[in-house]
Amino acid sequence: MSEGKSGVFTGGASLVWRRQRVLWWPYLVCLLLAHFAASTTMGRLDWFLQRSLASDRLLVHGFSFGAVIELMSGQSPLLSFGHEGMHFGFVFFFFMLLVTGGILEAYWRDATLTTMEFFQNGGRYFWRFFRLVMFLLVALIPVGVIAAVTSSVADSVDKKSISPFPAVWIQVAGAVIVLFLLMTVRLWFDMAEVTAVAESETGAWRCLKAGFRLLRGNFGSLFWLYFRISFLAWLGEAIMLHIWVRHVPPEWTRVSFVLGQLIVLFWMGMRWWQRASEVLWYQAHGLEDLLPRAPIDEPAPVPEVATVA
Amino acid sequence: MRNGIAAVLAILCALALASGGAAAPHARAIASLQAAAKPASAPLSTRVVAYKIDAKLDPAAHTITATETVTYHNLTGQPQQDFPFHLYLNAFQPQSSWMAEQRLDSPEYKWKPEHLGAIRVSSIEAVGIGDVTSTMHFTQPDDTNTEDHTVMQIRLPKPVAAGADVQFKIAFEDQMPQVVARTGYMRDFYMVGQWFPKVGVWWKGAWNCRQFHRDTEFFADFGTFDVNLTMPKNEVVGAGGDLVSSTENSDGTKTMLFHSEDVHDFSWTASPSFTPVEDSWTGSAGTVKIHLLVSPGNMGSATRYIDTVKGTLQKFDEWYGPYPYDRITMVDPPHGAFQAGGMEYPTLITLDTSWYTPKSVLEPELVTEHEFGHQYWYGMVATNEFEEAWLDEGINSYTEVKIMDALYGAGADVINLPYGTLSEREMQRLGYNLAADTDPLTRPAWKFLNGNAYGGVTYGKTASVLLTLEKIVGEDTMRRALRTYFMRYRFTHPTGEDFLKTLEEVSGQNLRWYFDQAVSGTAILDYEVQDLHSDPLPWYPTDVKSGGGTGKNGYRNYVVVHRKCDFIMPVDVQMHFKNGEAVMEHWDGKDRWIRYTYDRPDEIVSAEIDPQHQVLLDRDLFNTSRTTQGSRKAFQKLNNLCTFFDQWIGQILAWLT
Repeated sequence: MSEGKSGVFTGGASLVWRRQRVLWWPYLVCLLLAHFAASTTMGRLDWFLQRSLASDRLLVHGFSFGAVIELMSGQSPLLSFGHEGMHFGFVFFFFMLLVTGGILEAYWRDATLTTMEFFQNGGRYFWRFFRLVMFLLVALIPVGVIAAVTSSVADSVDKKSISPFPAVWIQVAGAVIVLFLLMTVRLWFDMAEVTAVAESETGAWRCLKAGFRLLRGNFGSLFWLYFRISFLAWLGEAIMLHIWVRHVPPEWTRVSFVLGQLIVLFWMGMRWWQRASEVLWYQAHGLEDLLPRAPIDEPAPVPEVATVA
Repeated sequence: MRNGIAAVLAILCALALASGGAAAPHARAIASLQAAAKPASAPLSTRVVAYKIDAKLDPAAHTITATETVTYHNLTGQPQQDFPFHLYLNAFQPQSSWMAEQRLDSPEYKWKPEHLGAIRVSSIEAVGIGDVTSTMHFTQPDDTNTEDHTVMQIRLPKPVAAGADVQFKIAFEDQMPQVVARTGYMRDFYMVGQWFPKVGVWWKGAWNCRQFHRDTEFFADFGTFDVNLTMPKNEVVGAGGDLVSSTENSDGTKTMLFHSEDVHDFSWTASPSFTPVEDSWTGSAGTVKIHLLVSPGNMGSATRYIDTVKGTLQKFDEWYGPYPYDRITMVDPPHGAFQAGGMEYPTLITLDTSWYTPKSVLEPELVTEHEFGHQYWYGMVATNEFEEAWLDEGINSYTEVKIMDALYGAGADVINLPYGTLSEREMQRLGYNLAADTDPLTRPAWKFLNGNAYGGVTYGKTASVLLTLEKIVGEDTMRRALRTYFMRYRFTHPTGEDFLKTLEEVSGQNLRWYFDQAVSGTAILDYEVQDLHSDPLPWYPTDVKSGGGTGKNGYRNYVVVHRKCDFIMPVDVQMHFKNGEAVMEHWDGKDRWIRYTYDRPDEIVSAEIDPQHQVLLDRDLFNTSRTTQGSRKAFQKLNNLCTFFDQWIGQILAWLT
């Protein structure tokens, strides 16, 4: 059952591939909810755009930012991004809160769960994970403070320094630090969630402490695991966005749609990869780290967990 | 001034440009400037004022200590005893009208000590008459705010006779603010504009010396400037004048003498961090030295600035008239000094770029073109920017569209991505649509509803009005009219009426019906194709038994064009039929609607008002055409994008779980 570092990394991808169902369902829910939200936003525009030669000229054969802004401006704009999107976002957020337990359970067992099992597990962990989200919001406060302080220091330096560059470098350094902290906090809470599933731990606070101990003791390997997948995600997104903007003609509406969905699906897949890798990492190392260290002459007990192919 | 458009563009920038440019050493810059200094020649303007200023910059205290001798030639045709002066920097004080207007529009604006600006006049002497400091008092011609100190007035013991001269010696000290509204300091950078007491303009039989308002710019008489600037030796300086001499002093400073004539203002800039770049362009009035001062990190934009100003000089020379000065100084403000960018002064303009401006976003080009354009519409055709801002900003926005189209291609001359574009015309329309019916163009700048209305109407609506006028008089006529206007009124202070009369004269048309609605009115122009359908001929079955025969004689086609709002504009309407036939109609628009009926062998497929897309004033782009067969492609495309954005909102929130 124990895998090396690269084994956890590639094993995670392999696990996501084997258990695709838990990726496809949330993706389809995301697409459907967003589509409904967009339809609400766009509903008034349908007839309006269908029968205008300007639509074809400005929005199909080319894409006029001016025309889109005109649709969005005025006293009663026909197009407004935001409200419906935010509503959808919150619905999707609660949906994800509901299914994360099922996803982790499927990865932990490396088994295809029935729909009943999947949602039973989701329901079982829902309130635990909800409490963890509350803790996460609290943990993000210092990150926000650091971001604000960095910005303020950069402003102050900008006013005092002769060169404009120090302030910019402070901002860049601040952004890197904030990104690092965001990733670290997310990783900590990811491990807390994995602990909850692995140990059937009901206490959110105990999960957090276990997650923290794991992260503290194995920061290098865990962060490297998380960062590598994040980096691949950013790279893939950048490449696909580049292809979309630079190489897909504006009138290729269907190709644009497919590419846009690939971008979303790829992003979700990479996040699921992180989750699967964390589960595998936990199976390989986590329990040993949490249990009291065994005497040297006696081998540590090995827990019974599902093996990963 | 560009009025925030550059800020919008900056947000759209995503990629960094990283290219170097040739940087000429400071010594070479000075040498070339000296070469550019020209001997005195016949005046181009009626020189009403002559300023001699000795100023010393203290970079540590951000102050300028100066004495000014201003000679005023009384060409008012009558004796003058009272003289008003602008003290523009006093606007940057908490109790000023400028600040009150700023707070009105932006209640979140908070005062900071570094925002303080001031011109403190310590003495005024009328040469040969005596000290008149005691007569100095502040006046408020535009409002009742007695705390506003942007206009001072003095009274002489006896009037200056018509045709005589009077000379004032004024000692003053400037407190420069941190860069705000075009002027001030940022780190080691100084953009020094509106920095000396400037006498008002005798105009339309009275003194015209307005307070400095949040949305107003400037107005002054033509004359000459001889300005001695003393500052630390390491400063690299640019100014709106020819460098006559530069001497190094024993105290580690240097003194530079600048001379300028046939201009109505003098501004300058200094920073040890500037890298000068020299170039030149030759036009119908001779060679023009291009003196560019680039701030750290912005060298990648230097070529873009230079190429644009050369292209703009060329087009203005070809289309509107010669550029008579022998130099143009271009100042690239440093990072963080955004508010000093995008501003015009005679023979000196400030530019704008950002470190991450990709070539597909023409921000440096747009600002450079616009500010250079002001050399014509403000610099030489010196209209009253307080009272008729549309004559400088608006006409300049119109010529900006024409020149950017010519230089960079119509349709994609602001943002030019393969996937999407934003053209100059669209940008001006967006401004117009912000405030289509709030204020007429002719409203004084400080009396607009708010800053958005001022910007939208003065820049965007004027440009849209003039672009739409091209449909009525033709593009070539518009170009000839602007050339006539420039050549006739350069080095004078024309009014809006002068401009409108020139348009009528050159076009040979009475255009009052249009000006009344578009220039001095606030009527909205919005035409729509309200109905479009076909009826078979005959509509009833000719074979009663089979029910057949319907439509065997073709179709009766109906089109209804509706004028939704009050602006009346003659328009073309083009109809297309299924068999490819096209019909063009012309409607005078006087009635509220018109129905066209056609008996044709085929059904109608589309109708379009203004098929040449010249009526930019029409507020709604989408209802001016209609088709019988709907296409969902545009809807699907927007719907896909909307779905995509919504999915990302979901992903961001789901990151928390």
